[in-house]
Amino acid sequence: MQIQVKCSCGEEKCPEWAILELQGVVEAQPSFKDHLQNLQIGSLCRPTSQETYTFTVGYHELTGTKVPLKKPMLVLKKIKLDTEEEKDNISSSMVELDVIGVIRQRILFKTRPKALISKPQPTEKEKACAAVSSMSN
Amino acid sequence: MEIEKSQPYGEGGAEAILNVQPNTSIFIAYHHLFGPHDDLMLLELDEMLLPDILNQRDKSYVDAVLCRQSKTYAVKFVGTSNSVFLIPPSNLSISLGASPNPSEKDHENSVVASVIKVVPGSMELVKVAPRLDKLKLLLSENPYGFDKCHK
Repeated sequence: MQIQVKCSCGEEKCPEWAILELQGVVEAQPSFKDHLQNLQIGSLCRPTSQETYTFTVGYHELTGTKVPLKKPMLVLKKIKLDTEEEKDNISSSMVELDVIGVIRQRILFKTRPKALISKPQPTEKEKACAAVSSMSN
Repeated sequence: MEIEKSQPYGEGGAEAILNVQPNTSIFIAYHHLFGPHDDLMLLELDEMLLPDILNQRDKSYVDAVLCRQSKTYAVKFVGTSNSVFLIPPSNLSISLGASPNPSEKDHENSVVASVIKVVPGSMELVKVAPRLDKLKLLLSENPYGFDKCHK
């Protein structure tokens, strides 16, 4: 079976996507596990003009840098084509890969998270807020 | 959940992540279309191949091998144990055929970038010798000889 790779956007207009990469797993509270949509994970901060970033998730702070990828990556979307061209015995469920984006850099957090212990005790309302975006490794 | 949903968000996306200004921060959230999205995959490839594929100079096929006009590449899937959050540009909804993310439309000073999926890994290309056996067989059936010159 052959799958054709197509691009409808062209070189200049191909939108750039981004990658945020960290070690381990971000786990949401069990009560949110099945509906993560729109849930806040954390905040990404660039404290200086250097390409160094901090990613704060709950009470954990990760430090990382923006690194260009050695090789670019394409974001491909699989599209099922219901073709009627069965004259050449081509299977009717053809698949095509559409290029919908390109990735050239990522923000990589490869250090262990630092616990933010100096934060003041949150009020009840803030606790509910933090629980939503908290994580445990 | 409601607390989070009602938070005002500014517009963001991959552009926001890639252009964070010094001394500022943006929120990272799960996209309202966050899910496994098995139809989205990443393909790592040489910079030199990029213009050809993006400009469709000639057709590319993925089939455990990626065939270009004169070169063949084996495709292998490389998994990762890291959490790779894939963040589309803010106008992604158009390419996914969905309505715009309402939470990104509110005009407030907090910017949010949304994660569409956690990527399990990516596909990589390794240059391989094309399988020419079939071609050799076909050619050997009808070798070029002296008599053909005069036809």
